[in-house]
Amino acid sequence: MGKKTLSKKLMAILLTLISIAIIVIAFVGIYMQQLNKLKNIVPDATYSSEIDGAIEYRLSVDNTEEEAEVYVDDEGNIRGEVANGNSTSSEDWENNTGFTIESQIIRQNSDDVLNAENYEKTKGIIEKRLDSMGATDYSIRLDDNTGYMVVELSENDDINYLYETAVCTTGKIEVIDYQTGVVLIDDSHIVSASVYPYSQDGITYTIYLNIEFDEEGAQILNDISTEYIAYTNDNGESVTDYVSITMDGSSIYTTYFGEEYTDSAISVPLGSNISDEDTLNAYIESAQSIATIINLEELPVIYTQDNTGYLIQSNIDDIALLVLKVVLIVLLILITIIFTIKYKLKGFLAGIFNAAFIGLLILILKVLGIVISISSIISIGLLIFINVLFIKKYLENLKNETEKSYLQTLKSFYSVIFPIIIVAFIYTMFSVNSSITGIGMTLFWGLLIEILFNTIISRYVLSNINKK
Amino acid sequence: METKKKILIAIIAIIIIAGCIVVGIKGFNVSLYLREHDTLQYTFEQKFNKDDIISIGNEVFGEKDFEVRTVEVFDDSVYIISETISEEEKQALLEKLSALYQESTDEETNTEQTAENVADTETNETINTDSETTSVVDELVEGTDYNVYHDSKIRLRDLLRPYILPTIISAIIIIVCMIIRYKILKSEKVIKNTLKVIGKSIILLLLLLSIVAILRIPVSTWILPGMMFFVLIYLVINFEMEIRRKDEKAD
Repeated sequence: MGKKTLSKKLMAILLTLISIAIIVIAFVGIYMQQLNKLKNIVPDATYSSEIDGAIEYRLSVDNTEEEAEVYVDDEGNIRGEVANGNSTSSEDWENNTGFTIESQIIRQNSDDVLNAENYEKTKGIIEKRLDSMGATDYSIRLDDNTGYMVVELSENDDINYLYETAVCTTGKIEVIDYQTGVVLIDDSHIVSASVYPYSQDGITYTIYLNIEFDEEGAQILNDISTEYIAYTNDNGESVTDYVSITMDGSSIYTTYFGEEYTDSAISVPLGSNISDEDTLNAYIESAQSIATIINLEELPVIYTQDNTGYLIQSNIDDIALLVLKVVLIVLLILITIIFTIKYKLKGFLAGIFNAAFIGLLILILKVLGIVISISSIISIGLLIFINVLFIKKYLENLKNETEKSYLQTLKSFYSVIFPIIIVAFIYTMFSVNSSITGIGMTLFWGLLIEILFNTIISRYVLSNINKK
Repeated sequence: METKKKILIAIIAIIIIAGCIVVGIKGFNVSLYLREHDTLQYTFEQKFNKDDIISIGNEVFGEKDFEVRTVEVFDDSVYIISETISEEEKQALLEKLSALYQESTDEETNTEQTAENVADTETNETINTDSETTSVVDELVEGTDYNVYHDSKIRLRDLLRPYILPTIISAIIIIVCMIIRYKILKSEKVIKNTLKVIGKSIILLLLLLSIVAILRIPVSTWILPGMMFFVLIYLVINFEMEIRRKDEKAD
């Protein structure tokens, strides 16, 4: 046996051993001693809520009411809640707002909003918010008659952030007189909101929330910019009249105007002197969520939380996953046996390489933390099918001892599996939820590993067997 | 047309028609968790065995479909889900659940009895257990020890909505690539072949959906990707057969 042939055979043996090692690592794991225990250092798979369960929040329509002092105009409309005691002047507070103050029972939800249409609208807005904020895996149940809602979020997402922002926030934005509480501009005049980071020196940043108003809102803004200023009152005191931008009654920014404001938008600083990248990104994300809420309009119905969020396990338990693993292993063994019967040694090795390819894919999915759903598992089945098809084609071409067996196989193979390649790319691009991303990423990585694995390992070993 | 082919077409047609009838009358068998259902949540004061709960469910519900799901990180709470839970079923569940680990606690505290005292003791124990069980159920507080919910369905269209756009875009691109492929392979009837493949794909989809409907296979989030993968497998096999036929003709 020549030197070259010997080294090729040794290389083939090495590659086969590597494939066997990949199979063992993927299906058994690598166990190392950690704190007197043997621990598998191969990361666990990240599963979707279909498999791992979801956090469930139960919400019912808020029917509470409370007595509050409000400003009422001549037409009986409420123009804000009384907020005296916020003035910077020492003078006794007087109602100079032009509105009468009345004590009224304020219901969280008036009767006219409690209907199926508004419940559906509320659900739709929450869904859009969750999608905009990057929720990958959620479901919402809605009782159209009572408005009762059950929201399920995946543990793989930032649950607290999503729940507090997308579900719990009504999204009522107002510009109010900080001193009195009178609403100056309500959200009917808001056109849009956007976020931009600004830096003067290129080192520290301020995050601005830009709120754009319509023509009428811009006019009101112009008017209040001449009224809410710092001045000296009749007693010679320095007084500042502030305006406050509130969301759901809580102030997000309080300011006054130094000069007449003619712009139709107001820039609200939500974070300043930020130099750390992680902090900057966190602020941008937070500001973006406020902008999303403003852009998507407020929830028509206000809800109250019935529970603190329960983890509901799926009915696919560890035993079911183990059974699935066993079925996969049995399938790969069966494929190896069938190939061995038909193609002898080459068939046996092809079976090993097929199992190694799947093992490598599973390892990569685990290491990259790609969320595995039931659809991803079905995708793995599809990849086994096409790899078996490829190997069969290649072994047939090798049998016929054609010179360009591998290239012929590739050309013929890819002219046949192009629909799967298209689905892999399109689904990877549409990362709207974990199932879609799971299918796309599983197929994408599977196809990539397949071409590399078969080109580097399968081709080398199978074409060099029995060569003299 | 060959007889075998005619029989196959007839069988497929019958299955699809039967499937349409089943869907029209009963709809698909959407999985219980996704359907409108009642839920009884019960909190134990200890970790429980899911199999025990399933046994209780079988006793109370009989043939009726139900599911048991563990709630919370410490596995001390359970959801028992069924399409409807009547008042009688609720009471029966609460009785059995509250007695579930109560009995094992009683057994641990029982002392050894002599043979002559066993009968009397058993009678007394039964009376005592019955009265304890009734009083335990009465002591259960809704909202603390248990909750009963009526949950609306999760609409299938909400679950499937994320798939629609990527599937449509993929389908359009696949059809365009098919046409290009047939042109490259110098097929005689490009449009006819393409339409034939599309038609067979649609028939396959209808056939699969009909089988799912007739066999009442529980439908869940897997339905659209599952059907899509079957169609992809069909396309791959179809193209592979076309290449083989072409190679055989060339030979």
